[in-house]
Amino acid sequence: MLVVFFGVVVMSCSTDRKPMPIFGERSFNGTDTVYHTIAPFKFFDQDSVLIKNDDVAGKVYVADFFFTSCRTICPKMKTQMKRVYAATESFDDFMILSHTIDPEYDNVRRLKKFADKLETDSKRWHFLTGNRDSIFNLAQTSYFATAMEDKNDPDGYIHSGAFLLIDRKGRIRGKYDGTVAEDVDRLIGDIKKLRLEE
Amino acid sequence: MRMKAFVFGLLAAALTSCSLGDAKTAQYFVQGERLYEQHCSNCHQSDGSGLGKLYPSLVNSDWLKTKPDEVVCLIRYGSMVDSASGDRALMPGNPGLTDLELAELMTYLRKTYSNDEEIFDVRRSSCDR
Repeated sequence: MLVVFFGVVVMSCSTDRKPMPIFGERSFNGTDTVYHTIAPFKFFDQDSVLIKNDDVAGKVYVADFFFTSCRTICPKMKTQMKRVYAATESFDDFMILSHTIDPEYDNVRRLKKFADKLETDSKRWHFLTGNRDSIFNLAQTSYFATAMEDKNDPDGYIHSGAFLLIDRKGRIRGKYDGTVAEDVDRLIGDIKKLRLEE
Repeated sequence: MRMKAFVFGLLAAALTSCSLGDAKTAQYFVQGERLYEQHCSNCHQSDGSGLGKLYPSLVNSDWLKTKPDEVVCLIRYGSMVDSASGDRALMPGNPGLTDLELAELMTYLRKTYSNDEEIFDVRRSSCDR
């Protein structure tokens, strides 16, 4: 009986400590493993502040792709991201980057209006706009997220509803469906886990 | 014989408590709930709570109570576009909904969020502009 009990305790500990995966291709530099990281970027946020890699260096963050006039999956994504925002209120080493894929329409003014209506603070949740090709390119090659124009879609774009979890070194550590509450519960747990990592 | 009288009694009770009008209202409500899930809950949420100021909450909505004829137009045509700013409509319209569907939706909305048990007359749904 006691053996079984200890067995369960040990097993539950070991699954908790299981390291989180690191996504993407890896290469080797001598004996060092080189992981896929998010490429350099420069976008303006809703306060016209230029946000670069330096601003997320050493921080855990979640990224997603959306646009303010999207009526399909974005309202669900923003409902779920607001849950992430609320759950991480006390974390000063965490942020959220929401990139618009319709930067022509979603300028700084419109992103500001959107963020204000969502009742969020720009220090913790940045809504980013900039060069269209740079955003699409970063989505596809750095975050492995789909984002493209589609004339057949009622909103004019197709994009994935994924939330990407990035660690302090710029590596992707998790991918979650931002329209599904249970998946976002898992993300919130993983953010806490990732903050404890060295 | 006693059994027969009992059954008749039950039937009579059922008929008087559930008039034809109630059955129609209930049907509107059920259809309205389905339409709400399909067309509205994505933004306003299944429980009508909305999201910040982005998607307004419908719970205890004054507008639904005092100006239902404006609400039904809003649902059909969407919110007005401010041409000066070039901003897109905040709320998209639902031009595909029929007058009957709008009446069902309004019956559901008013019963759920402004405590109005009355059926929303389909003749008020046309929203002619």
